Amino acid sequence: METSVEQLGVVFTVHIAGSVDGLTAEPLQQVFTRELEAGHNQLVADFSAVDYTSSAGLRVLLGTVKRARSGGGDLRLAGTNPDVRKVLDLSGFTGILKVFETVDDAVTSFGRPG
Amino acid sequence: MSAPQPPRPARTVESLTREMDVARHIQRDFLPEALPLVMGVQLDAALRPARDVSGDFYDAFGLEHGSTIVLVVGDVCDKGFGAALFMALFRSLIRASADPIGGGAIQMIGGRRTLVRQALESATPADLLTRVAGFTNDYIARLHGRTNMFATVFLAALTPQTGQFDYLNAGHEPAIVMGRDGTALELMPTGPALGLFPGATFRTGEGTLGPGEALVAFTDGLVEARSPAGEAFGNERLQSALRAHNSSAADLVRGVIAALQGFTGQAEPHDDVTLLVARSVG
Repeated sequence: METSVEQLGVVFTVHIAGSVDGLTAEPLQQVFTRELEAGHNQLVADFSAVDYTSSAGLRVLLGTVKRARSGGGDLRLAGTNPDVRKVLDLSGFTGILKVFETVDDAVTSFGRPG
Repeated sequence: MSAPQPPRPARTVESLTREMDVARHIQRDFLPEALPLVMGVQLDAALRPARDVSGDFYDAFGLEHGSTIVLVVGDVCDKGFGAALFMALFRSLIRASADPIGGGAIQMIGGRRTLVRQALESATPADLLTRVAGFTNDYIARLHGRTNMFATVFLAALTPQTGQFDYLNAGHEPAIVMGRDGTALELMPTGPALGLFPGATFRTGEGTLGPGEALVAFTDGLVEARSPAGEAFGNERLQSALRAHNSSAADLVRGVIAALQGFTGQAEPHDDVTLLVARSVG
């Protein structure tokens, strides 16, 4: 798994490539933690190059969205493939996380009221 | 003055192995020693951890008078020791909140014993499942929210005499009702995984097992198990193994595990695998 972070205004997008599983969840958590500790609470997780996520990956998303919201921000997802989307739907994560088709949609959603 | 003591050696592989054995042994105690014997329903199960300890669990127990059997299959997020600790907690919360006689619910509430007990006895099986899921969910989300641990859990309350059951699927892999004609009905989620956020609500569904029909609950480690070439075992192979082995609950479990082993060969298991079967014999 590889990650890179891109800033657009006050929104920080974490681009993720590869599989998010028991081995890669910890490094991914560190990337999000770094952003949160820098006060970046408006986060987008770009999943367009993620082929698989295990429950360990979901746990990272849960921890990150809780922390972002407690800081007045949010974590939003973009570009999930059908397999990842199915995992999110089955586990109930789509009930707590906003999922967008594209990174652009997710980023601009922070600018909209509500 | 005595000579300086050499630094204590790092813990040896042997001592870690010993601790792992102890953990494995203790964890075994959080799974039922034997499945209950029930008139009219055969029960069987298998759990194969990917590592020394498991985040998967299953349970089956009769409620008072044995008129209802509660079936549980759960999968705590992630793997290893963290998942194993929470497996013990989830299993205990579910059992204690479902089973006021054998579990701790009555003792926990002390002086209000009588009132609580009456309330529990008058609840329908569907009420019982939503109460168990709601209690477990809120306990984990409120008291252990900082760990961000959660579990997907399939719960069913089966009346052996009639074959009727209620189920609650908390973000779990759909369980399957295997018909005698080989049809497979999937029981989709009726609520989110347990522990995600406090106050989550859960619905229930219902179904009936006719003679020769089986309720098959399992964890995603089964359908996501990989062959050496990297292909997933999948629902099709699972269902075809179930169709080929529907002579008893034990046959179903053995048949699926044999098919899985044949498929994965020597490939390293990447997740725990759990399978629980309740088959009506009419």
